Amino acid sequence: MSRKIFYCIGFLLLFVSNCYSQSILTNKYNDLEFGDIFIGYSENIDHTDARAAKFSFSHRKFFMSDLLISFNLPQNLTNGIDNLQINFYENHGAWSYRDRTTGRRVFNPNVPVELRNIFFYFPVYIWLGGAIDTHNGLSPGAYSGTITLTIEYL
Amino acid sequence: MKNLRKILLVLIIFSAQQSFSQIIISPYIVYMDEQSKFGSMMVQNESMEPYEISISFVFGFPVSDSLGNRTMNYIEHPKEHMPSINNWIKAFPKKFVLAAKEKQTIRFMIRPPHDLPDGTYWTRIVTSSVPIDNSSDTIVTGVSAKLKFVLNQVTTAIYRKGNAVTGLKISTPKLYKDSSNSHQLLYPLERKGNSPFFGFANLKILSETNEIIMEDRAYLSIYFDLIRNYSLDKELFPKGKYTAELEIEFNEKADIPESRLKDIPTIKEKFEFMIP
Repeated sequence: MSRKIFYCIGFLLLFVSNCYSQSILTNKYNDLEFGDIFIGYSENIDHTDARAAKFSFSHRKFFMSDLLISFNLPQNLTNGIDNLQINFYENHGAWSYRDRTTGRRVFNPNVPVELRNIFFYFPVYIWLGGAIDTHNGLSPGAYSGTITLTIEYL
Repeated sequence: MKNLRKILLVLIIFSAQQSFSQIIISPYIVYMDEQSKFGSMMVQNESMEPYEISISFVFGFPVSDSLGNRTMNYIEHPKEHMPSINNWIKAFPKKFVLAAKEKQTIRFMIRPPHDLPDGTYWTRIVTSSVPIDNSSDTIVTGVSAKLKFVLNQVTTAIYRKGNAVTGLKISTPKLYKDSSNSHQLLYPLERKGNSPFFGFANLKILSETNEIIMEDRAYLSIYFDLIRNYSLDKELFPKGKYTAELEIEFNEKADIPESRLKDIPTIKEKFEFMIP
């Protein structure tokens, strides 16, 4: 019995010291990838689409914390020759405590999202979709852009 | 034995989460003062791919609108009277590649002016991480589109000088009815002293029969005056008379273990309101 208590105390000390290391943990699972598109066609990726960007993060501020999530979104993608317009609509962002398509809370990725009372260690998942519309005359090639996701304590 | 299994299960879940994480930053507040003008922060890459990391500073603080919706107010060129340390803080290294499973300590050094008034000064540390991409595209006839992500994790650096004091005053709360006919309790919070206030806000709302209808405990960081809002669920709050009890406890040591700020007694506010 005393050995069990010893191990429990040891693990708890390890756990508590981890809690007080006060970290922010992040994961990126997917970039936002439209794949190949025929010129003249449009493509929309919803947040539930497997090609949507997917992240998770958690914090270790004891015990709960309020966090602010914001995106810096590009207006165009480029292949070095042409620009391809990209749009992010108010239903393109979503977050959830669970990694599944149902029960997500939808948000507008163009404005910061305040997440209240996020429990420490529990992951929060974020998804981001988008829409592009290619027009005739667009030069072929690989178009790319950069999205900045900012996570901060409030 | 059952309890031991439960404890071990919880610990395995927590440690598994860490092992699947990619970029970890610790701590979220770097503290410096007159005695110790150096601080440090750890950036860990727990992923299997290298990341390019860069460190920058921006002065900012949380603000709220009149309905208590919060966001960050960033000021690129803070004015002289603002409590910013942007011009005096340096980070080493500022840009580097972090290989898989590696960690890097970032050192901070501050050189404030000698005639700086007493108080607390700060900036936000922006740690940007982007995976190094070695893939190449081969498409020639159509269009392909892909967006890369830069991840910014924002933490805080604080410098404290001399007689730093903080305090908080709860001004008269208000009841606000929003467009969906739900009510919100709005608490204007006025920061006192020359330092931010870090603590916890505990709200309890009681019915006329003293039954607890709603309880909320939330972390609170007040850099400047702001409004804290609480949404009252329509189903929980039918017509009637209620009493809201807000208690704000100062607890800076939870964020800054080195803190030497004088403790403040818990601040209490009782507010009676009627849902018509």
